[in-house]
Amino acid sequence: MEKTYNAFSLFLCYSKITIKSWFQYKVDACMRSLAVFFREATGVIVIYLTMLTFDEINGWNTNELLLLFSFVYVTYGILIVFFTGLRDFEFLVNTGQFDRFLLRPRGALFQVIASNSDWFAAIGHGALGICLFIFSANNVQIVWNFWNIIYCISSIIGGVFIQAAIFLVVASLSFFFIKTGSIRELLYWNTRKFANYPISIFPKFVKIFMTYIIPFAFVNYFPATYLLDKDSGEFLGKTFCYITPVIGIVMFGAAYLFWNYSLKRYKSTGN
Amino acid sequence: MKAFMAYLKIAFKSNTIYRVDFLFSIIGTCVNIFIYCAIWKALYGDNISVNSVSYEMVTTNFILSLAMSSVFSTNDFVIQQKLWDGSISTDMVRPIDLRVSILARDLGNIFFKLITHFILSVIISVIFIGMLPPKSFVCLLLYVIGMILGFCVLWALSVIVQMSAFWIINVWSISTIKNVVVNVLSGIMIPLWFLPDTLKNIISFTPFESIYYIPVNIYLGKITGGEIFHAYFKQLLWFAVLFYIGNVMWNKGKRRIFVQGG
Repeated sequence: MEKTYNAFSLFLCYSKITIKSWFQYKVDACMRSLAVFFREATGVIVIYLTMLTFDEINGWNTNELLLLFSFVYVTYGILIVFFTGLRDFEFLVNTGQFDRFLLRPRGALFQVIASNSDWFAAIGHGALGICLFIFSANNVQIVWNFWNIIYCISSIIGGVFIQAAIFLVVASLSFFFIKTGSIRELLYWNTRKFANYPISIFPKFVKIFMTYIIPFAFVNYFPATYLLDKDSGEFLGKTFCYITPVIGIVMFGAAYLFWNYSLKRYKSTGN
Repeated sequence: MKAFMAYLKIAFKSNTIYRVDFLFSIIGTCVNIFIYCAIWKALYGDNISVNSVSYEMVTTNFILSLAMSSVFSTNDFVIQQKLWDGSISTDMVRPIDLRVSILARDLGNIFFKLITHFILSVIISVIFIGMLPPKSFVCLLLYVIGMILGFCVLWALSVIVQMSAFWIINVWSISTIKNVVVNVLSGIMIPLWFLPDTLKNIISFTPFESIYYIPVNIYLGKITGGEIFHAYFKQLLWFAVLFYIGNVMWNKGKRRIFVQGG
């Protein structure tokens, strides 16, 4: 019990320091959050402009597409508060700073997670996600009841864990390949680009990839099809809509095992 | 010139160090092209042409502009980095203009990516997606000229962003917003043919369509004859205007250098 409390207070301590360091320059912090907001809104603007000419994309209209988008942004906004350390892990290994983490009397993963959070991205993505969610959910007229709300919250948490697991795997790969920017680009950011659109428009191998290999479809596609009461295509009917939280926890557990395995093979780059 | 070539060669060679990284970034470009083409295929459905633009023209636009944007890498953070670590003080006393060395580095990166990223991603896209051939051989040559001029405009924009490092602590946000505007308004993310007319008119008064939209249209033969020279003139004009602004900022900025470390 004392140990948990101890870890928790250490986490708070770390958070205080990161917030202070990220908001050191106040004008710059506001500008950065704004820039993230704009950068992420690009996809939304492009969809909006495209839909001026076309009415729908494979049965999805503009509002439904925006709901699909909002899940990606909300989950990322939460994800980045907790797991920035994993996203930027490559730099810790490259510069040899990770060696210091290993010498301290705490778990390496705990320190990596606790010691960094990208507040600009959190504010930019989170604000955009919440705006989009409220706007689009209002327009497509989802009937809110107790189960729907529980469903949304659990899917968002599951979505955060799915993405955290991907970050953790890529971070573990930094022990084998020194530069992993492009692997992360490929496994995470490119997959995420696919996820911005209903995966039913893509060829079969992409659907399989998005459902079984990097299961990004569970972050937004399946929850959105459930909320919109849409047919999710040639997939296993409705069951896939309910298992986002399970997938999240299982993936994160597997990624954690891989991290432990990789950590044993760590060789420092020196500094 | 000798120094210029030396900078260029170093940048070229440093690209060859991380091979895995290089492979993955080509895949990244191809994935981008593939996603956009799949979306537009779904949008087109059974239509052969929308607004008198065929699906093949859309894919050609995406392949060329995305492949170009993977090549046109400018590093917006050179001057900021030099101000942060104080190395700008040694750069100022060197006999080569700092901006010339930045250009040489950028060109080194570009030549490397041109013979790797651009050609490979175009070949892969042609095999898997297919794209229209240039209207004629002359169009191809004219396209290359347009592409070079387009890069000049993008480079001049990047110089302006870099120079703002003299006034603000971190250019990241300006650089990001610049990239957003360039991506949306120059036709990388949506072919400009589909924008509403008012928006298209506004864009024609900005430097952005000079970067990717004009070269692609020359390639497709949508701009022909005298219009081509008009388009070139527009690109040159924007390059001159933006370069002038960057120049003024450089002359003002270098007087207020204060080094924070070193």
